[in-house]
Formats: sequence, structure tokens, C-alpha cells
Amino acid sequence: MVKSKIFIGITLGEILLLSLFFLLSHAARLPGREGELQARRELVQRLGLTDFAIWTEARYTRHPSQTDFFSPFQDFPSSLEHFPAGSIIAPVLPSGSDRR
Amino acid sequence: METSAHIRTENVRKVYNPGRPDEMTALADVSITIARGAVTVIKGPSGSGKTSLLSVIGCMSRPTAGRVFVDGKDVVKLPERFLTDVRRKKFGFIFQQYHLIPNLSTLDNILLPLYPTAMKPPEMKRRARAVMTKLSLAGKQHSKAKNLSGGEQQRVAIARALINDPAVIIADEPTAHLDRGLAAEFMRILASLCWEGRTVLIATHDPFIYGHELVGTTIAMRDGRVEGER
Amino acid sequence: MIKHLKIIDYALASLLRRKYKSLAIITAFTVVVTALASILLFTGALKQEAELILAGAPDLIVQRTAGGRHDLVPVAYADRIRDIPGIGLVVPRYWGYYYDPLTEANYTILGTDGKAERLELLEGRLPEKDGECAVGAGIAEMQRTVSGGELILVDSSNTGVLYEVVGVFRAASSLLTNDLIVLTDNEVIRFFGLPSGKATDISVQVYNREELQTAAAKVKRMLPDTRPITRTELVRTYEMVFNWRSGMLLTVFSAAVIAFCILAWDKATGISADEKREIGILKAVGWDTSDVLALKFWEGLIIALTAFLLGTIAGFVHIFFFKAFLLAPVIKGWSIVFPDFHLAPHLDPYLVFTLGFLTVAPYVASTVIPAWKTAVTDPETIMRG
Repeated sequence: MVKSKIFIGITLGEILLLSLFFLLSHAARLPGREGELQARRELVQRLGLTDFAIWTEARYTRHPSQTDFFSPFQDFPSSLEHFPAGSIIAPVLPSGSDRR
Repeated sequence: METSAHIRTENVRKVYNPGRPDEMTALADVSITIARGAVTVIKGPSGSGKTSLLSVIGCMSRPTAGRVFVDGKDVVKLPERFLTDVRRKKFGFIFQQYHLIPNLSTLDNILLPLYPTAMKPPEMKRRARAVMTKLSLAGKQHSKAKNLSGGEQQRVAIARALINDPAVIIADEPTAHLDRGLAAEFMRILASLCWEGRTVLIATHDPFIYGHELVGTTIAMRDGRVEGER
Repeated sequence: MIKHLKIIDYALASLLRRKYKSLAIITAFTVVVTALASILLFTGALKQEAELILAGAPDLIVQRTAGGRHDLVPVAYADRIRDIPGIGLVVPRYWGYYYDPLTEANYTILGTDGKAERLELLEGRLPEKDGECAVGAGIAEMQRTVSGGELILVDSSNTGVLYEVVGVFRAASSLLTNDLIVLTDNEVIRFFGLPSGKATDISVQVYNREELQTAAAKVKRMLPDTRPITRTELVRTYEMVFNWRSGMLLTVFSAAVIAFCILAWDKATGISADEKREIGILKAVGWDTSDVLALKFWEGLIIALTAFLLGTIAGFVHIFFFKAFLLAPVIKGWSIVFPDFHLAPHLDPYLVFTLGFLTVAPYVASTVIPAWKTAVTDPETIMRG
């Protein structure tokens, strides 16, 4: 039964590793990480930031939370959404809408 | 080993593909008794129903009609799990084609019947070693079955049939692929099994077997029926 | 227990007998799971970062729209909004986008009130005079400048302006500041040539956070040409990244599903003659139907579980230890300035179980079910062929 014991051992090892990752994601609440988070929150508050600086390919993809519905199609009446980021983020809904 | 089993069939009928264009009656109203602790041969030409009869007796298939008694118990109506249990504990089957798993080692082929049991691996290995020594296979335990000679493959098939220490050995055309020398070797092994008190049932159309002095009873079959018994 | 361990042993031996095929299946399967896990972990982590970090964002941002498009907002609106009960600090914001033709990159220019503060994630300080700026790490790298260095930008009157870089945001904040250029409010107004009395939008503080929607509604009623955006919507934007209806996710998932179907089809189109024969032999030597099915179950589970665990671990390591370096090109699109993803590890057990169920169960089913018919047949019938 050597093979089965090795397989079970390896599988348990993998599950243990995943459990460690799970603990790591919760250890994110530790003081070190909390300090990091606090620094970022401070930055957001001080500068009044509203979005992550991820998709800088177009203005409207840079600030998806601030963008209106029409920006992706604004270039001319029948223009199509043509930035790759548009296929990653869903459009923003107007305030008070309950469509989500 | 349990005490030798007494086997009896009563009006056994076996039909393959019933109700279909290729329907075939392999056994028609077969009633026989297999003597305890002796060698019984079922002889007959190809297509006479010998293999089908062995399958039914060895609990490998159920008859279409009739009853099969093993140690006085009718096994035909047993649920599958119990039938498998009977097959595993009481019968050791040596197939005409041996039916070894080609890429498995000799040892693993012999141990195959013991995998789904609660027997611990050290005990399994001990049994396998004993049976391999008896059949002169000790030096071949790690060889793959496909790399063995015909005679060696047959001995592995016999070893696998013996691993559960069954009371009944069933052999289907055991000498079909063997020369006279190996056929004689096979009969010597069979003799030792008889001395241990096991019941042996052989299906064959080889006169070397059914004319052998070891054979107690010969049952002749033709077209799915028993022609005579000697 | 021993019986099952022995059956597992046999299943492993069986897979090892076809070791190249088994390895190929595990590899393909693991790659599929890694891709799925990477995307799911990435979006989960981003969502969590948004919840934790953007909690400091303004309660309400009031924009003005004209013809459905964003327009500058009169600063006078700020005074009217201040009069609404429950509203605290109301501050006009000045910011915009800058396209640098040399690097073909878009930058964000943000105005501040001119208080030369030091921040933990800022090496240096914020600008206090019109000729000063603080820049994000991405810009510093692109423009090859450092704290104490210089930056030249071309303003709205097509004139080059030289700024002294008084601060560079640290790499750890690049997810927030990578493409930022911070100037004083007055300098932003002058740079963009914004008309007097107009701002980009207005930041509003609401005392009672439970009343955000109510406050937004009041602003909308009072100023119908505005568009208030609450912080809740801001955070929710990042829940929608890689939403299932997004084209990118549909493409990746379709590819994963197709790959999976090919794997399952190979198994489900009936078992091979060799496998049938092997099952026949097992049954003939004393394995019953449940033992054979247990064998097939373990064969399927060994492959699927190994691929799932390895894929999930690989996905986690890829996103959180290697900063999503494989996913980054997919997400980057045409961005020139793109941050490093310093995301906090985030593993949702619900995600792991769902992914596990969706990958392991179908594969095990596609291994067991085709063998079922053979497994329930009499051994004699199987071996007769």
C-alpha cells in the first residue's frame, strides 16, 4: 500500500498548503498588514482617490466608477467599444438604480 | 481451505441474447453432479457448451433457467454481492486464454483476487510467496506477465486461481496452448491439488486430459446437452 | 478501510501503467484550473482591496452631465449642497487626464489643497507651490525622474511647463498612484485652462453613512443636471471586474469549458476494449460491481483532485507571490502605464469548494459512468467480448 500512502500524503500536503494560504489571507489582519492598509486608506482619503490605477488605456477605463454609460461609445454615433478593458469591467449603473 | 464443495446442477438452461436474431442456446436442460475431492472432466467438441457450463457452475454467470447447488445452497438467486463472495471464496478459475493483465507483474496478477478484501498486505504477500514457490515462480515475481512464456503464464494463472485457497478449481481448456511436456506438467500440478482435497473440474477436448489416470468422472456434452457420463 | 487503500493502490498502479497519458491529462487539467483559479482569486482580491481601501474614498462625488456626457460643474453648486442637512465637508475637486505623445501614455493629473504633507506611502511630500509636483512610481520610471528631479508637461496652451518633483509615491501604492501627477489646485486650473468658477466635480462628506443614498437623491433632486456617485457604487464597481457577462471572462471560461469537454468526451465515448477486458478479469477473479466502480471512482478522483489542488495552489502563488504576471498582459490591454499588483492574499473557501466541485465532480462522473454498464455485466459476458 506504499503507493496509496504516498498519494494520500501528497494530497494531504497540498490541502495543508491551501489551508496555510487560507490562514495567510486571514493573517492579513495582522498589525503589519493593518499598518499597510491604514497607509493606503490615508492616501485615498488625503487625495480623494476613487479608483485603482489599472486600466490607463483610455480616460473612461481609468476611472470606471466615475464613468458614464456613454463614454465607451462617445467617439461618433455608431462607434463600438474598442478598448480591451471594456471587456473586463462591467458598465457602471447610475446612482439609485437597482438593476444589480 | 474449506471442506471440498459438492456441486450439483438441476435442469440448467443458458440462452445468450434471448429474443434477438442472434439468440443462442448454449445449455439445454443440464443436470450433473460433481464429485467432491475428485477430478471431473467435461469433454466435447467446440461449441458443445463446456465453457458455458463452467461459467454457470463457477458463478461467473447466471443460468437462464434451472438451479445450481454449491454445498447444498442454491446460488442462482443470490444477490450479486453474495454471488461474488461465493465465487471468490470457493472457486479458482483458470481461463483458456489465462486472462492475465499484460502490463502487471507476476506478483500483482496473482494478488488480484485479494485486492478487494480486508486482508492486510503482509498476509497477502506471504500467501503469494507460498503459492509462487509451490509453482516455481519465485524468480519471476517482478516480470511483467506479457514477458512470460506460455507455460509460465499458465502457472501464474494457476497461482492466481489458488491465492484464495478455494475448494474448487475450474480449468477451461488448460492444455490448448501447451505442448505435451507442459501438458504433463499441468497434470502433475493438478494431482497435487487433488491430494490437498480440492475438487477439480476441467473442460477439454484434449484426449491426453480426459484419458489421464487422474480423471475420476468424464461427462460428455454435445450441443448443450449431456450425452453420457463415465 | 484497508480494502479501499488497496483499491487506491491498484488505481494508482493502473494510472502509472499509462503514465504519459495520465500525466498529459493532469497537466492539461491543471492548466485549466490554474487559469480559472487565477481569475477568480484576482477578482476576489481586487474586490477585497476595494472594500478595505476605498473605504477612505469620498462619501459622494457629484458630477455634472450635459448631453449625457461629463461636463465641468459650477463651484456654486458646492454652496447649495452644503445647505443640505446631514452634509459635512463639500470640496470642489480639480483633476483631469493628460496624454503624453512621447510615451503614448495617459496620465491622471490631480489637484490638492497645497498643504505640503508627508505621507507614509510618499517619498518626499505633496506639492505646496505651483511649480511643484508629486508623481506616481510608474511615471517616475517612465519619465526617468526621481524625488528632487524634474518633469516637463505641455499645458492646454501648448506651452511646456517645468515642474520640480518633490515627492514620488512608493511602489507599494502603485495600484492607487501609478499614473498620478499631483499638482496644486490652482496649477491644475491654470494647466487645463479651466474656466473660472468651474471644477471637475465636487467631493461631499455625509455624516451618517447609512444615509448615503438619501443624500444622493436629495442632491439629484436639487440639481437635476448632476450625477451623484456614492462610495457604495465605487466599491461595487470592482465587484464587477471579470463579471460573468464580461467578454474576457466568457472567452476564458469558454476555452476552459471546451478543453474540459474534450477531456470528458475522451472518457465518456465508451471505455476501450482493453479497459472492458480488464474489468471482466477483475470481476472473474472475485471483484464485485461496487469494487470495480470504486476503482473507477478513485482513478477519476486521483487525476481530478490532483489537478484541482495543484491548479488552485498554482493560481494562488501566481496571483499573490508572482503578482499575477501571466494575467497582467491579459488585463493590461493597451495601457502603457500599468501597475504591479501588490494584492493582499485572499482565499475564499466558498470559491475553493465551488471550483473543486465544478472541476472534480464532472471528471469523476465521466470516468465512472462509462464503466458502469460493463461493471454491472456478468464477467463471462464481458470476457466473451
